[in-house]
Amino acid sequence: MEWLDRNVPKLVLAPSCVAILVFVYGFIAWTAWISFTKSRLMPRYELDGIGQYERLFAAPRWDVAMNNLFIFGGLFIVISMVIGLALAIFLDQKIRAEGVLRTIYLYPMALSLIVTGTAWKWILNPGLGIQEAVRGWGFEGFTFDWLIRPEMAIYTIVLAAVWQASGFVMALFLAGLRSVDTEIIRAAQVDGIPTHRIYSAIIIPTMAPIFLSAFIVLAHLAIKAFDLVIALTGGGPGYATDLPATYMYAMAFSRGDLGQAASSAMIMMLVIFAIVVPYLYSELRPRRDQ
Amino acid sequence: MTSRTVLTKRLSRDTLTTPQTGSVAKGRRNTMLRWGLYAILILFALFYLMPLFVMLTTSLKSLEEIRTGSLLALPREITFAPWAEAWSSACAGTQCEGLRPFFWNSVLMAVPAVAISTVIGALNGYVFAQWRFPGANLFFAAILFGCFIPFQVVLLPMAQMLGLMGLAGTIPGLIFVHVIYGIGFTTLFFRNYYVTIPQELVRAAKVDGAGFFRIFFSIFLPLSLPIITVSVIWQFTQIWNDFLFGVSFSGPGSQPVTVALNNIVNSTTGVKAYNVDMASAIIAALPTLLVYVVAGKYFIRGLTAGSVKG
Amino acid sequence: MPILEIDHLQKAYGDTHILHDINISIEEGDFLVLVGPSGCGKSTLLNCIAGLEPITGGTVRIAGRDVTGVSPKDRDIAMVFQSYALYPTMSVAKNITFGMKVRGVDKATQDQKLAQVASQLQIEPLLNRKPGQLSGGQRQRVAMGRALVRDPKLFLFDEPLSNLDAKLRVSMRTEIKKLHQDLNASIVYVTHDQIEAMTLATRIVVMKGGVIQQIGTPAEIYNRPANMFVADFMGSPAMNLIPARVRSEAGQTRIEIDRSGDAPLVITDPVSRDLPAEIVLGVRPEDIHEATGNAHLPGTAQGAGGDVMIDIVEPAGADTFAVTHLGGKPVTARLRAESAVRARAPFPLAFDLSKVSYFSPKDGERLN
Repeated sequence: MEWLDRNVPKLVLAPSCVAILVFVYGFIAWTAWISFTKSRLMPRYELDGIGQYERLFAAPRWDVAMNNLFIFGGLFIVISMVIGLALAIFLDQKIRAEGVLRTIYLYPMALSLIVTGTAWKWILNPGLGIQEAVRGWGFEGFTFDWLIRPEMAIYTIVLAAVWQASGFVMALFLAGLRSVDTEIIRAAQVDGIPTHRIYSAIIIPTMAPIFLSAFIVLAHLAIKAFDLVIALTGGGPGYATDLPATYMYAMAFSRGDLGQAASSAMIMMLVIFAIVVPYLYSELRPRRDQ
Repeated sequence: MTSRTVLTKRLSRDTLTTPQTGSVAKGRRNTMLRWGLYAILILFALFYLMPLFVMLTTSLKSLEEIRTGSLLALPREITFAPWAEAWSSACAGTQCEGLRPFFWNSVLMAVPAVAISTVIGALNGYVFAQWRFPGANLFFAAILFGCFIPFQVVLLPMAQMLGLMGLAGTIPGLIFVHVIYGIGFTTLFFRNYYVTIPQELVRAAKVDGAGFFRIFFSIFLPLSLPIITVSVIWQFTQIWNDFLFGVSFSGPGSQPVTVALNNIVNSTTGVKAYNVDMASAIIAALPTLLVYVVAGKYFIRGLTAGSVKG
Repeated sequence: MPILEIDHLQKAYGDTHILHDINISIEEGDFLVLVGPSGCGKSTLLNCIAGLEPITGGTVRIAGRDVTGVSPKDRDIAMVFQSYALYPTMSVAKNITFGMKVRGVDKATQDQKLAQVASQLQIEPLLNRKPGQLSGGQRQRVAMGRALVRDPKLFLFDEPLSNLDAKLRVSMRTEIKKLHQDLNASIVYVTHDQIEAMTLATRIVVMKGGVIQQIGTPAEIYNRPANMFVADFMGSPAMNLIPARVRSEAGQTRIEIDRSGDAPLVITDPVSRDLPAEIVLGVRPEDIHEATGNAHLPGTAQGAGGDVMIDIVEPAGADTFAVTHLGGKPVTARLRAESAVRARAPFPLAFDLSKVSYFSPKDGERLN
């Protein structure tokens, strides 16, 4: 009874810990293992070196997917941050109806990426969409057919993703701006520090952690991006808009190539690790004393 | 507008003690800037609203009007037929029952998954915040880390595991998956919330003779309404909007609404019914949009808590 | 039978030792105050007594029963916390009765005890309020009510007054003292405030770095501090600790103290003492007097008229404090308010040698 009393917290935690151990770490290990075998349609467990990774990096489709990830990820992160920061600063100017505007900027985050993709697919559709509407206003030569042009289609995904996430970045930055201690700003002002120096020396540095968080979240969204591509372009035209996530899915469920699916999933995870692990480490460390 | 002028205004507004130079020229320039500011903000608002507007107007137009009219025009003649079709007769693949059955699949999946993952997260968070034991931090880091993995890395073994458990292609299978991979976030929410409650409360209750669960139910649970709301909204939005698990682990009878929406939109049979597609998209989006409108404050708190720890 | 007996208690986190070999014993009705600077281990010791923290070695007995390893709820204790730790969602009445409810005490008894404690602490009008609606002093009362209603063998107080403003702290202090006398309760009380310790305690434990420095009555601790740490920590202004040289001759002890800009001050203790050549002289400010008119005191400063240069004069209403420089240290004397002492002028001072302490400069231990 005493023993039970003392160990209730551990017992409560145990199922979750076991589940995480098996379904996160165990599964990662399983996927890692499979990525080093000759598995195709069915999993095989004899290790076979790095053959899958060689095949993966030799595959032109994977090459496209990784290229797309860097284009998409880079643009998505930079544009979302720029728009988000600008909107946050603008909204911080004692704007009337700030609440309404904030609500409008942020609502896309509540939508499923499938819905977003469906909507933008319709808007960007060259036959009846925005191109046609603008031509209808008299701009006969207007062309906006990125959706069907292999070299441009990836930018439509950037557009839709920025539409979805930039409001969220705005919310993060706005919270950051509001948390800057006004007394410090006043003190600096009384000291006669020029305003641009206050900006660069006080406000931006205080927001550094927010930049980092925003970057982490956006990078994470970019690498996991799957739904949006499926709904907006289906990976096409051809496989011009494939991302690692859609590549992995295609290998796993349409091609029946488990080895390629596993190795591409592992690469995705390594990319995320490279970004998230240093962040998590720095976040967790100062809390250890609590 | 440069950031410097923005800041100048922000500061001069904040500090009444600062003497205002307030020359006429400067005042006029400020007014101009202010109008420009509003213009930019409104333009962005239009950009964010445009897809919703297009979805809504398209869903109320007839196919004929869509073909002849402009994307951005209001419907000349409002018709609800596309909505009826989207709800009860549109074809997702070979199944032509509309979104309705899939909508209920999503409800049946989301409600238990949200409830279970929130309860587990609350208890876990309570332990991590108030009943620390040696090594607890390690477990917390391990659970937290689970929030960040790309789910692709667990897709294959999970498919196998669900098969082994006889849950492949079923709603309980989807519930199971969503609970497992939702625990990380719910635990994080509750842990960060409970950490702000002084530990002396637990000590006082211990001296008063209360045990682990008594303290949880009598003292912590009554304090938890805000964080329960955050957790429920976050989990509901995540699970309702999920596509990857839905498309990977559901069977013909258990597909969630997002998967069905994608199937309807990509259905190749018959004429492309854009109005039905848009009505379907709105129907699929409605529950989470509603949550956002009703409880936006908690939605944002979940988003920021989920991304910025603490 | 002692109400609380702590025997060779040890507490360590891994290699970090928080408490070293603690031995304390108090009788029923004692008011024991654990006092020391922050980080000295006093709160940890209290938590160990409560059973909120496991101990690494030794035993704790409450009313003769070995409670080492017994959970807090079964130790027959009640505790008042620094932050009061009131349950925020429960009314005052529920806060007070929660412990009884958990223990399955019947409703009638609960109500009767609640009424009794509420009238004792004069908190009847607050019973239906939530803690958030109470002032600091009211919360403090409710927290005490929650402890009183349990009628335990031992009360534990963890810095209960430190969150109150100065005025309220004094009145609550008086109230706690009165409560102790009325109930003849046994109390262990933690504070970092030495005045609180002096006014409340029947016995004081002074701690530093997890080690007990001295156990004794307030008078013992004040008049005969066991070492320089206790001497310095207890009392305000602190005891003057003056480095000095000793020469024993003909049944007397001559003590030489360096004085800036003058020959050393020499004072004579008529008692022969076995002291080392170098000592630290500990003398409380109120034991330094104006030499004129106090010539009968045994330690009247000799030679050069006993004049010292006064650096600063601080009138404080009832007393006037004069600060001088002796042995390279500032030395404070507590003089009568109407004293003619002036800053930057010499003034004759005399030490009451019947009350001074001698310490070893090497280990800081008391020598007399």
